[in-house]
Amino acid sequence: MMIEVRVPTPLRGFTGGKESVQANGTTVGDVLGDLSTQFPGLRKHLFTEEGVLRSFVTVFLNDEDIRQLSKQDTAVKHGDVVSIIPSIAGGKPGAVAFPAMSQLSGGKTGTAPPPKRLTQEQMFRYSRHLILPDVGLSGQQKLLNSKVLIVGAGGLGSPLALYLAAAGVGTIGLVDFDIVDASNLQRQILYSKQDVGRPKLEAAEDRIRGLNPDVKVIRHEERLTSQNALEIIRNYDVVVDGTDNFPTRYLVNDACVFLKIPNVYGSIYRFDGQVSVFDTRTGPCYRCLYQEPPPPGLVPSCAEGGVLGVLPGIVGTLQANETIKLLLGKGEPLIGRLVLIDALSLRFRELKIRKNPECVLCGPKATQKELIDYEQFCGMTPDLSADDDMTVEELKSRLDRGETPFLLDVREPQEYEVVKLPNSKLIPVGLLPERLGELPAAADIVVYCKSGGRSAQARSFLLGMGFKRVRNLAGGITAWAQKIDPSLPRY
Amino acid sequence: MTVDPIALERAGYPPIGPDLGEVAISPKARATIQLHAERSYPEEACGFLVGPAPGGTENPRQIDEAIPSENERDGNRTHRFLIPYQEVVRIERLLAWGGKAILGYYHSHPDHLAAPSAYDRDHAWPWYVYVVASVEQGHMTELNAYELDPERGMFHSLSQEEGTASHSTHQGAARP
Repeated sequence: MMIEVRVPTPLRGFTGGKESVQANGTTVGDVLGDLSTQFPGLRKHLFTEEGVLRSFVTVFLNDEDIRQLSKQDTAVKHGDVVSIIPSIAGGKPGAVAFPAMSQLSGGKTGTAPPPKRLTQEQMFRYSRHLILPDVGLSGQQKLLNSKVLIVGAGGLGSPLALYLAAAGVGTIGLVDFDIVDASNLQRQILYSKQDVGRPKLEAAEDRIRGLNPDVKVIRHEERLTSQNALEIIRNYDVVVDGTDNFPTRYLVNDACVFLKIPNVYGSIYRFDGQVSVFDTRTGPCYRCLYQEPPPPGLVPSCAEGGVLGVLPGIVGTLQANETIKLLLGKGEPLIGRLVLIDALSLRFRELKIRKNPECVLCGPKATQKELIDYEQFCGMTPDLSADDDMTVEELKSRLDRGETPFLLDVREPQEYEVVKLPNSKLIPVGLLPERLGELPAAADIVVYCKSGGRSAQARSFLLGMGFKRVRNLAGGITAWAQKIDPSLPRY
Repeated sequence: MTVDPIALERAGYPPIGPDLGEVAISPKARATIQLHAERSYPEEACGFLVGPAPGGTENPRQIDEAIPSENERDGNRTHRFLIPYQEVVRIERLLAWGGKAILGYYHSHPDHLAAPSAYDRDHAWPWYVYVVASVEQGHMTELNAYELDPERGMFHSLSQEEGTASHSTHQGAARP
């Protein structure tokens, strides 16, 4: 019977340019034989001189590899489609030495060192890797020669840096410009009590060196920006996203897409975590998943929304796991899959994510060809009305003068329990729309939250709703506790 | 220009047939191949060569982009590479959206000549452009393009069009 055969591009020169031809037979082998008779030029590309199907020629019957069926004896029936699909292999000659080219490469500096042998000490240190079939000596050398950039040395960056350093990833770059704060210690296990007040990267480098002197730490003590991102990122094999804000997350994604470097993504919020690997060579990017950032203020940062301390440990170690797999080229990377973690119910869910053909960054009709202003993209460009923010000093002097503005606290009840301003009214930002009636229409309103983010959001909302005399307390209750009343607890 | 035949023979390569035409490799594709080949050293790097999808049976010779692939070969990646068919299909499908197609493949020869080996020839497909890059001590020194003879007996060289940068990153490097 006649069966449709799909011919791959490289062989169409032998079928008169046809993508699909008909061939006769009752088994796949017969069909391929008839095909070679009709188009004799094909035979030697499909079969060896001994008549065996070449190893790099894959044949499918409908959507199954015939090696999983009865190979060439697989029976065909009317309506079946046989497809020939190329796999590609090659390599240099066996053990023949290269003619002394190195002598001729004068003038070139910075020659990469050949892979170093492991020392006795390293053999011992990495012994549990060396006996793993998927790592072994060559895998360990690969790790030692690898360069990974961790963006953010906080909750996610801590377990990442520690596990990657322990695994012997040879170069770890860290981007962060923050100072260790006591409130970090609940989850940022890179740091100890005595590090409070030190620059994070200084403390991190000490810790990593103490753990594994094989690791070279590169400190990028600066904010990642559209101006420096490509220069920084291009030096690394894999980038791990441990950021806590949307502008940097989009920036990291876009830079990785342009440089074709895999981006191991993780994010956390309260009890929820997400992990995926974005590599646009074979899968989607962050923009395919989230085309646009949420409106500012809708998703609070960990500082504002809180986070279970162990959650970044779970998510960060999953990211470390994916990073090591990518570096080794082993296993099934989390490309095209998004893992959602709910720490409260401890359930892991996996969603398939696909490349978005409309993606402005990595789709076929991509329109964005360079990095943009990510603060603006995420709607975070400070608007002019911020000039109208009230400082804590101004609020203090107004209160001292006997003024009684309506103090509106837009945090969550559990935060209000920790610390609050006297005579303030609590209406969490999410409940504002339904509780507008509780606000005075004519009085001055001063809105505050922990550090000024949610209250700025609340203020714009209130102005939009027709309230005229609303001001935002810059720096929130944290600034109040720092500058006005140090006896108040900070969190 | 191709690799010196004497050097080829000394290094155990099969001879290369006469030029079969020209190929234009964009500077961007060339840069990608170089970066990938150097990063993968001492292992072989491999990937796809991409350009406008062909209309008929003619050989389009315009390589716009190189897309790195994992070297999926189990073990011995310093001497061998493999791009499994799943990858080929996946990339083909992605490219089809944009009217592009796989026009060929590149791979590197760490500390070896930028020429196809007998193993390359035995595993090659006709029609495709095969680019082979020589990486010496971590630095790409030469990049040449080839096409398999329809009779499979040898590879032919493809000359690189003028204006698409030189073949070697430093002249004469391959001549012992």
